[in-house]
Amino acid sequence: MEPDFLKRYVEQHKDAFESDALPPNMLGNILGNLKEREKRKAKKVRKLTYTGLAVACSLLMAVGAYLFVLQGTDEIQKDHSKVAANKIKPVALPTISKVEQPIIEKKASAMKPPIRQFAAHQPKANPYKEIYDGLKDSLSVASRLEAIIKVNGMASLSEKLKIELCKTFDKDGNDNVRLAALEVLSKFSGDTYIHEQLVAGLGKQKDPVVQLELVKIMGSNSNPETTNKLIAMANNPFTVNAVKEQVYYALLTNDN
Amino acid sequence: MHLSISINEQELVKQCLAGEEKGYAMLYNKYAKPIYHAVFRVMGNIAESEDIVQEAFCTAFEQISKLKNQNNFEGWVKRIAINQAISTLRKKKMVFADESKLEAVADEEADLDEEFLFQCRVDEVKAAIQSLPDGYRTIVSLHLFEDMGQEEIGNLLGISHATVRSQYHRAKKKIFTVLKDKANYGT
Repeated sequence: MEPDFLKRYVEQHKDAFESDALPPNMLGNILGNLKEREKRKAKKVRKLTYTGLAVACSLLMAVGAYLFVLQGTDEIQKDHSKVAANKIKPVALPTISKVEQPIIEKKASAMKPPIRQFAAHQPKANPYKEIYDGLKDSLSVASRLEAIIKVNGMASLSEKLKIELCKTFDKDGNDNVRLAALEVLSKFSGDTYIHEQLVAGLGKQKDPVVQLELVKIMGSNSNPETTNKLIAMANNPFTVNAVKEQVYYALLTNDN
Repeated sequence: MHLSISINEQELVKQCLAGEEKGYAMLYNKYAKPIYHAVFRVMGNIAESEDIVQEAFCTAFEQISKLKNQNNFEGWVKRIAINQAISTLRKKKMVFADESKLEAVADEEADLDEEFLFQCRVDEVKAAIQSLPDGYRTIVSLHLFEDMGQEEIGNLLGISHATVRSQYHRAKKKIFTVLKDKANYGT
């Protein structure tokens, strides 16, 4: 068998192959997740105890009811001979005239349960729920990205969704998630609220890749506030050169 | 040296069993990096790898009382994470094709040149491995980085060891082709 040079190469450079840093905040997520699981476990145990109690109570009630019915039957059987001795007189049923018949039918139909109305009041499934849940899933980057992808397919955004997406763009700990949120928000940058949040982002976002995309999107905007923010970015010593170049380009091509 | 490391690990496991957060944090700091890279090499996707590693550590910490060999926490979590990664790939409808029933393919050694390979930068080799299709990349990663044998990989992926062998050689050939193209044409 020939020697495996590739395996030898990997063995010799193993450390270099694993030199990339870990994604941030994984430990925090793990510890948070562990606590959540413990809480859920405790809740489950409590639920099981309550269920046990409920079952025991139901059994007691059922046995009690059975005994009660049994006792009642005995008494009826005892009284049966007395009752049988007395002849039951036939009770005359009230006769219904032909004029009264339709009125009774009408009343009966009025008493029918309003099926359609009930159906109309059934709770509707909220189509946005999955998206909100995904955006709020602080433990899974993939879930948050998936939720953003779903939003991307929408033609318009509800007010709540706008706020949630802007919150994600503003505060999410993961750069890729913020970048994806920015991409979706850029489609709706004509909206006043979203526009304001994007302008605010020029001062808040610290990741160069996100900054670069944001400047590309907002650069063409001649709003004085945007221009001020761009100038502040250009003057900030912590802004990386590639972003600065994009800022200069935006300022030069800007009409203002 | 090895003895002291083992004792430390046992100590950390005991702390975890007592529910001390410090124990969790130290075990994580010690082993998260190699485990994350092992999963990333299989998945090829940062977000999914992050989720899988988090889930694996949570499962391990939650079930740490079941850990039989307290000196092998890393191996245990790595196995949980890799199994999870493979089942995630399966859920994405990825099939590890079994070629054992197909006609045998001549697995001639790739045109390997040791001197050429050792001149390549790690980044280039890494990129060449990442460019492989999912199935090949999984096999290459498990064999090269996790030191798994063909039989073990075959059992894990549900394919024959002959398939593992032939796919590994094809993958290696692809890696060398990519590296040579890069050296010759800069692509």
